[in-house]
Amino acid sequence: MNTLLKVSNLKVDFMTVRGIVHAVQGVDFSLNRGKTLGIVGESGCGKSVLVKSILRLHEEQKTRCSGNILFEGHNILDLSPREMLAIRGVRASMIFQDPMISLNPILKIGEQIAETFRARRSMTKGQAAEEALRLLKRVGITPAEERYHQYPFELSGGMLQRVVIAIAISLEPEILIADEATTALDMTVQKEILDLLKWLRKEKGMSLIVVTHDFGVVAEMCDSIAVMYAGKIMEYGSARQIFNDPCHPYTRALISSTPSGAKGGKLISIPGAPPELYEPQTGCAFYPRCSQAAERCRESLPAMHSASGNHVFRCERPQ
Amino acid sequence: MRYLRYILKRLCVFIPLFLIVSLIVFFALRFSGVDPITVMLGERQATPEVMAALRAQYYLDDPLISQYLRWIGNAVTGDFGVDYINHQSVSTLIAQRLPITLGLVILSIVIGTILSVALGVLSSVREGRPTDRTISVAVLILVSVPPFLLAIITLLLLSVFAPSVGFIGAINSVSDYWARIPLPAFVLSLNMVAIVTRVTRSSMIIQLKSQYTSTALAKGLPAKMVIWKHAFRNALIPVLTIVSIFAGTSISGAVLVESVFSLPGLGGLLTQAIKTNNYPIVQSALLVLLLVFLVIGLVTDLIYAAVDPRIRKSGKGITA
Ligand SMILES: Nc1ncnc2c1ncn2[C@@H]1O[C@H](COP(=O)(O)OP(=O)(O)O)[C@@H](O)[C@H]1O
Ligand SMILES: [Mg+2]
Repeated sequence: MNTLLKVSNLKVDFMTVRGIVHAVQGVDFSLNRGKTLGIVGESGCGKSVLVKSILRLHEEQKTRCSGNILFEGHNILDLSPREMLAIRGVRASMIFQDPMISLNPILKIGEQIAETFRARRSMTKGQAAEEALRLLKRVGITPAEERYHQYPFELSGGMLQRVVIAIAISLEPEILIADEATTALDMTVQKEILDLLKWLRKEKGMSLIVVTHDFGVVAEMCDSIAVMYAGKIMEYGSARQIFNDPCHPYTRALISSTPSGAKGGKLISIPGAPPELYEPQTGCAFYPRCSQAAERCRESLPAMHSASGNHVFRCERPQ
Repeated sequence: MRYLRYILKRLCVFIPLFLIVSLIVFFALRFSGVDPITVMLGERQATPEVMAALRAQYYLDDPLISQYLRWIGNAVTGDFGVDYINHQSVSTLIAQRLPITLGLVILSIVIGTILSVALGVLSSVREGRPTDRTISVAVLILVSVPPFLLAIITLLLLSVFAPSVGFIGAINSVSDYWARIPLPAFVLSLNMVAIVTRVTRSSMIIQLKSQYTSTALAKGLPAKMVIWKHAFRNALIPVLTIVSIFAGTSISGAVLVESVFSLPGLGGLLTQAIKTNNYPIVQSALLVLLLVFLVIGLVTDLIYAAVDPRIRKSGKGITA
């Protein structure tokens, strides 16, 4: 109906000196206008690789992408560099984890916003500066006039992340991707940034993709949630379905390992670590760490099962 | 404003540095044990009265420190006195030859920087592809040939393929100058090109992989702007360091290239004066060459600070 983005059977491989990394192994999801999708999983599960391929930010020479990433019927994997310009910043834009390294260290922060207006909106220097200043105020930077002329090393992490957000929304993208946008910040600042994102979503009617390893964050803002493990989506459903009725053992383990998710206040961390992604898996990737594992989990890839409606999960032995 | 303050700070370091260098030049020559009067007289004999008169004329009986002060005091007004043997004005000798050496050094830095930046950036954006490989191989060959060999090979090639190009005689006009300086300057820049291309390439590759480059792409900037305005300006800092090192060594390279291409520069003057122990020329020519060296360092620091706001803020330089 109002689908902005449709990803299907997306695979991303990296050619490295140690071999081929299968970072994303056939992912499907879609995103509707004004909705928020959460992508959750431990670090190293392929979340960043997945969302970066939406903007084609990988080094093309060393990366092999296949499948479809459709914006209004156009597969962005087939677009020319020139056509990609029409996507980046306009259709979708992105905020990264660490604001300290997300900005060019030697350019004034105002200029880092204004340059986009000059390059893409053909504004004059004065118009672009005015627009940039307005944007700085919108994301809550004070005193904006003074900050405009400062360099990234002169601002705090929270301030920088606001600047990064201002930059990302400058061309009013339909989709804003936030990759661990609050992970590097302390708790109070985290909340401020999340509130800012929620406010922007409401005001602009933007769709959000929120990538995080923290279930607390997705609980607050997402309509639907994809749980990712070892390059695959393990469970997908509405936020309510995932929280009230988690079907995959990995989802349940993740929920009980987050402070806000742990029922009865008991935090249980998942033993072990996500696998390296060099070889294609023969069985369930979560099998070695799974409390429900059985012999067949090791032998064959589990299929996607439907729990109810849109709620699906990739496990043969759900509880 | 902050930049102006930075320039002032650097100048405050520059002046004492220059004085220290001049002290070293002066005293190193004075303590070398050669007697100026012997140099002046050469093969001739002289009475003690004549020798005393010469000593007085050159203030050789004054304490060393006042001799130094007289020399450096006059030097800053552009007067280097007269030499021991022909009693010519050292300032005139240097002024005649400086444009050639300076032209070689500056032109070779400019040519070398432009070439290696172009090649290095091209290599980095084509990392791992045929263009990058070709440039790497060319650079590897270039780096392994010593500069004097490059100069001689060029000369041989020219004498075979373009025998009409003249390489001897005086330089009497501006058109002579521009006919004879660029090629030796290019040859002088080749070793620098080899190294600086590599540094530019690796520095650019790091910057192109950095997070802020992704931010710049993600916000919708055209690739050209991301490469030049963002990645390149950040990549410039290590590149500048290596360029400034080469700029310094290109002064000694220039002396060599001058002699291969028979250019009447400071190098020839200096070697001739050293052979004849003609100290007024040696110490003043050295001082001028070292001044060029220091100015290159100063200019590098000023460019650094223009590129990187963090350096402006700290007030520190890289070279001194
Ligand atoms: N450019 C790359 N080259 C090779 N491997 C990569 C590259 N980027 C990511 N990976 C690998 O892909 C996997 C997924 O990484 P990533 O998407 O960053 O995880 P996360 O879920 O923490 O965001 C990791 O094993 C990582 O080492
Ligand atoms: Mg990540």
